[in-house]
Amino acid sequence: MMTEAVVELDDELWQSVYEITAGAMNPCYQCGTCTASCPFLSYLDRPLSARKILRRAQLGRGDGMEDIWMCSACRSCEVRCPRDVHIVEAIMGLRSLAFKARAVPPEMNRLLWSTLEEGNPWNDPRSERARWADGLKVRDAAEGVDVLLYVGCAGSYDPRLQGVARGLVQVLGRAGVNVGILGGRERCCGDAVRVTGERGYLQRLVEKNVKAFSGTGATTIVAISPHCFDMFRNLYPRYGLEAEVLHYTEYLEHMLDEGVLKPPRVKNSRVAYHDPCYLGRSNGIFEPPRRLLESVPGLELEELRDNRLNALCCGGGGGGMWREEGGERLSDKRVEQVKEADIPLLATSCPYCIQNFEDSTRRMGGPRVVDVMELLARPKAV
Amino acid sequence: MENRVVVIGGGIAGIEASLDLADAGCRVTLVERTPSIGGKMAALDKNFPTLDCSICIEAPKISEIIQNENIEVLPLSEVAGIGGRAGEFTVTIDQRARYVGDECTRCDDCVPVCPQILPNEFDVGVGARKAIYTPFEQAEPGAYTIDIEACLNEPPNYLPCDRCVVACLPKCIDFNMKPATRHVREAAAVIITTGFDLFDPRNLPEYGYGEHPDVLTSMEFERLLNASGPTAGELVKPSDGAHPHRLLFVLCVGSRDQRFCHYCSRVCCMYSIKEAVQAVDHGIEDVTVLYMDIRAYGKGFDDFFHRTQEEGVQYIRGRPSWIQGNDGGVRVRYEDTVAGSVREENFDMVVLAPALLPSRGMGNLASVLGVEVDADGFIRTVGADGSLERTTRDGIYVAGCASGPKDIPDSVAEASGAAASALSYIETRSWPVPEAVEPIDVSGDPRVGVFVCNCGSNIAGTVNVPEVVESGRGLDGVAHSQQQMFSCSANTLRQITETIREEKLTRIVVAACSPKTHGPSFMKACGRAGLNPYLLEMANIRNQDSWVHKKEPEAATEKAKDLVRMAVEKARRLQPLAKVRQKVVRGALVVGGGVAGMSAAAALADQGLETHLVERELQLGGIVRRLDHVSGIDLSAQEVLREKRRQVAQAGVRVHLGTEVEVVSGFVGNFHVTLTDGESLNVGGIVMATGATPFVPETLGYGKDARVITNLELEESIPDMEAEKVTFLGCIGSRQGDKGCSRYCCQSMIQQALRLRKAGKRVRVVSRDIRTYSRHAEELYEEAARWGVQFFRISDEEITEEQVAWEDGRLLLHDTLSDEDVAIPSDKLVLVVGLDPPAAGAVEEQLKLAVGQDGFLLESHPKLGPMEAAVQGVYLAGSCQGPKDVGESISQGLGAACKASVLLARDEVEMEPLTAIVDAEACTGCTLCAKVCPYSAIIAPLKEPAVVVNAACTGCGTCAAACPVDAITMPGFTDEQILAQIDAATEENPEEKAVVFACNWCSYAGADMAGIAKFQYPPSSRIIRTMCSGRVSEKFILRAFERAAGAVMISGCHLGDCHYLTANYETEKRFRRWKKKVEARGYDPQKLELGWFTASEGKLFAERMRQLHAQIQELEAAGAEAEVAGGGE
Repeated sequence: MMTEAVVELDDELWQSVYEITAGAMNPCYQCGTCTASCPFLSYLDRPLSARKILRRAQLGRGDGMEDIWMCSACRSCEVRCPRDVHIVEAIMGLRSLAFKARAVPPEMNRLLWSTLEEGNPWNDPRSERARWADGLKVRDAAEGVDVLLYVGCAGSYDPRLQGVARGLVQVLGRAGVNVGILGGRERCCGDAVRVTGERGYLQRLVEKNVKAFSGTGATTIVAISPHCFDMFRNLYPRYGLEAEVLHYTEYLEHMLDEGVLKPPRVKNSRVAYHDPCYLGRSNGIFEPPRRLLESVPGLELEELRDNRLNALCCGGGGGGMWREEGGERLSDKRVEQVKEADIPLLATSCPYCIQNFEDSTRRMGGPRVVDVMELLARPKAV
Repeated sequence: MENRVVVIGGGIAGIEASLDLADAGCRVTLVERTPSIGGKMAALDKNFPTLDCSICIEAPKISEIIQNENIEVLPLSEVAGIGGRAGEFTVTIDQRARYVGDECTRCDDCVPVCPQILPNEFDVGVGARKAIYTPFEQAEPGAYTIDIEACLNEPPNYLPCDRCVVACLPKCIDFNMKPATRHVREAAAVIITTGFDLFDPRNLPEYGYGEHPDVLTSMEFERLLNASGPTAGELVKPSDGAHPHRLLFVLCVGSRDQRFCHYCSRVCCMYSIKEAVQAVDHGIEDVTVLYMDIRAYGKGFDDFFHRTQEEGVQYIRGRPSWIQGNDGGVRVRYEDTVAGSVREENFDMVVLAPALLPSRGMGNLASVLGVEVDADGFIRTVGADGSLERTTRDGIYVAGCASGPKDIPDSVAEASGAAASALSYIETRSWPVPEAVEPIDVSGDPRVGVFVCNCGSNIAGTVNVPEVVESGRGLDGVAHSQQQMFSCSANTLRQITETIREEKLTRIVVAACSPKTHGPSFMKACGRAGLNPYLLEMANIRNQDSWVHKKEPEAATEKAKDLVRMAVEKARRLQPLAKVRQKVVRGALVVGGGVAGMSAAAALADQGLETHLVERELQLGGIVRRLDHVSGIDLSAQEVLREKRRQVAQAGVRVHLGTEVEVVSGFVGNFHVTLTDGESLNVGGIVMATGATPFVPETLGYGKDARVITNLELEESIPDMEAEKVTFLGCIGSRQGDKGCSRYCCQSMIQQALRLRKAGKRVRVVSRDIRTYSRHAEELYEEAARWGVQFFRISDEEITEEQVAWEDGRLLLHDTLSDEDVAIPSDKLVLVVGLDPPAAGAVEEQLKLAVGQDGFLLESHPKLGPMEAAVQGVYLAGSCQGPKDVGESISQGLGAACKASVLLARDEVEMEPLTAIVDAEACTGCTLCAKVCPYSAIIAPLKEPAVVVNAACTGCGTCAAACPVDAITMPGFTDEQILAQIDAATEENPEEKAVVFACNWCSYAGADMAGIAKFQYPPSSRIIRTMCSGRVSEKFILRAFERAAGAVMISGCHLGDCHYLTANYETEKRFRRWKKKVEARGYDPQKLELGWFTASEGKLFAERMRQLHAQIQELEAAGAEAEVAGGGE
């Protein structure tokens, strides 16, 4: 039975895997629920097997780990895991190990350099960062504000997404909220750095951001992207961030409850809501965006078949936005589902989801893709 | 002080505890929340691994509860408060009204008129019931009840409905009953046996339960399988009523799951395996079980698991990620973790195995009783002595699933253990004297009463019962013939008793199921009427007729008529017999001084019985002496032993160290024992607690390489272990060949692994399925994994050197999870060894205790009698009956003590009056009888009349068959009676029939088993039961041939398995002689057959019956041809 290819257990390597993942893979009893839950399963010739990744980690193996770069950190596996294994944490740990071994896909290296040099992973010029707010009346947070609005890299640079931040500034301003932005001094939140497995620079970046945020005196930080939000809420407190962190849909829900948000009527339409992975599965925020949509006169919210914990993934998380791949994408499946349900409008609340879905609809047609924010306020033209 | 115990919960654990207590002379109040006792076991279709019909083996116990004068049953009741302390509790019990009085005749007229339709809880909602209903037909006490919440008579509806009141002829429905009654009972102790409830799979929305009708729970599936369930046993899809073709079982639904229950629910693997094989038996071609570890830990479980694989059940290691409806079917996605591939498949039906939860309201009950529950909500068990029955409050004990998930044998063992503990508070014992009934004079012409049972649809679904009743009525001597729905239910038994007196019946025939299971119930019914109970004969028209000839209702009906005729003919010739009363010596011998023996001895001596504990070694403690820590109960081994030694000393047990039993003789109530220390003892009962022997490995370098040690050796050296890299290898000497799982090892291995890991070692565990089934063991497994113990899974086959090799400090194996060959560098290789049966000693050999295939002592019934040997007066405790861990052994030790104390509590024991009687005048002194007696129980000097030593005779009848002058009579199985049965069997169309003689213990039981498993065969056989095949005499054979029987078969236990030692060797010798004799008489010797069966070989029995039938037809055809040919000449 024994073949020549016997794997010799390497205690040292095992120890380093154990330490870098904090033993996240240990409790796994290899039932395979994760593998069978992975959204990549339906599209790729070579499915991503979370179970096998965890198994190799359990054995203390550093080799044969190419699959770890495919994971979009959507946590579809984690929410069904009977052993409460922090699978994404384990995979990110393994990426760190790979990073140390210089076994990182080239696109990951590129985004790191870009973040280091320009403060964003898209290699857009640092000087252009605040352009989205041109002509908009908004305070510089350095003046001292209650609420710091963190726009994020995609929201700052992508012209398609800039309206979201603009709309939000207007709605908050109208309600009399003392809100400000960092403008050109805003830097990447670090999510993109984290998914490369790099750790030293990430720590420095986070520390710098915490210092910048704290300097504004803001007691609340509102993030537009669920990816930034996830970093601020779950990682930053470990580096001393004390302000309350909210996703903008949570903040607006409070405003709705207080009667200070009155969404304007829109043309009658059915709308579907797509739960972004980092907002829903990762942070349990399912209801605020739905409540916002339901508050818009003229909209009729319909649930997609796979919603909330079972929502599909657009493929953008975990570094997916930078991965170079051809052929069918995860976002296509979601768009397909909306098309089948014949719903003309697909709302979500994550810039990556919007970019990916629009990428799909450009190729395959389908619903108009919007951010929830875009249905709550009509931004003034620049 | 009141000599009463309150038992809370009327499932099988509560029933067992109540019966043990009552039989030991203690009064019992059995409190049950629902309308009837029986619990979950009553709802199950079959039990694993025996495939016994669940209610069939529970119903006699339910009837016993109802009939036992020492037991008061309070249904619809809950404990509301408790005061006082151990030995003198005051228990307050609130009882809800039933609204149906005792005059209810169970006519069912009230049910159709009730307008309220509700889901039937007993069918777990698969079936429907009305507001007035009976949960199941055999429900006791009192079948019918009104769900007042749902009843239209209950306010706020002020318009009385009263339809049931109008329909009820005996006028027993009374809405003016007080809605609640408060009872107060003084009790010395309390036993909690509240069982379990099931996890609601709706908590796992991805599994689609509650959304798709064809996703069921195992309990719902169980009801679908059940002949008395909502579909009468037909397996159909709830969605459309069609038969499913592809079936999937999903294990661990809510169990072993961080989000819900961390623990393993222990029973799901086995019952799912059972349900899967039942599905195969129902003709479903494609049955798959998705599992992670198959936990077939109990006696015979692995064997059963492998049999189901052979029968075509597929096992795939994996767990679904989702289950959802899809075009009428159910779509499931999972990863086959052995093949490493994800599958998405359609099934017709999916059965989920939900976690076992503490029964609803457990927290409330616990706080009322002042006992603690654990983190999972089960009753917390404590006890420095490792007892699993002790709660956090003195005098309150727990048994069964109330303290954690458990199967029936373990629940029953704990129930007896809890009863033994409770008995230590009981100072006076009493047994209500049965009401004196005027005995019925049976001297005149026999007046036979025939009672034909429908058994719901079990019999009536195949056999035309009214026709059988009518045919019975026409037989000679029959004075009364009637049908009954369930003859064994308590009210029907009362009906039999009443009818006997009213109709002045002097012989009784019950045509129902097997006398082996239900004979005692009907004998008691006779006794209560004043009729000698030995005037009862049963016709087995269920196990040996309706169940095995389902497709031939007409022939089955004819066979039933024949069986009734045979029974009536025998009954007319029955004579009253009196039980032999034997003095009981009020002392006990416990053989083996490990924890099981120490627990048993202390419990017996605590009850004031003179108890001797014999231990071969110079110290008490057995294997536990070699342990440092006891896993599971999580105690220091030395502390447990210290506590046990204290208990043994305090109770006044006479301990004989360095001693063995040398000679043992005698029988129940009076054994004579000589010990090797020269002492002679007289005891009434013997508890065997001889333990088990750790397997000694001969492979993987053990004994040659100092780095290779066993887990027991590790235990001795664990505190100062120097090795850095320690690798464990499980299942060494377990789960191989006839050996099953050794139960204790996975948990103990993981405990050791975790301990070493915490000490900073590199620890690896290599195993097949991980079987951490017992309480908190799964949590231990998880903790070990979190701490970084590495687990490797090898294929689930017997471990060979091919699979796992030890080379230069490296363990080489194939890890199925990564599908790679792995080398584990190890400073120490720990072989985790199984338990072998102990070497047989004097008691086993001299009392001829039966041994199972695995070499361990055989219990009287694997489900309900795990602590009793087949030899009366001998009890089994601990690992000598099968491997067990420390807690389980202690529990079984207490249980065995309880069973023994039931015997020893009384002055006398009654024995069956089946011993041989020699007619001294007819005897010629030929001594043939003495030569064939396996027990040397006949003293026969040449030319002088033989004398039977009653105490030694076991009633096999081998002597009677040998007597050339018919001078020996076997009571209950006389020549006259058996010849009359043969004549009755061959009255019509004899050439189409086979007369089959079957021994009580194996072949008759095997025939019953064929019925239980529904193995179909042609209805040509007519079975005549004798105690042993040795009873069959030449004249029976010749008579059958004279009567032109198509075939004759003599059957018995396999050679070597005979319950009368060597009697069947005599049968075999005789058979060869008879073959020649038959031929000499001009009959075809091919028509004479011999068959050996064990009690479990139902399939083989059915197979032989099919062959016999084919042969009859062949020979008949050949005969007819010969006749035609002859006619032409």
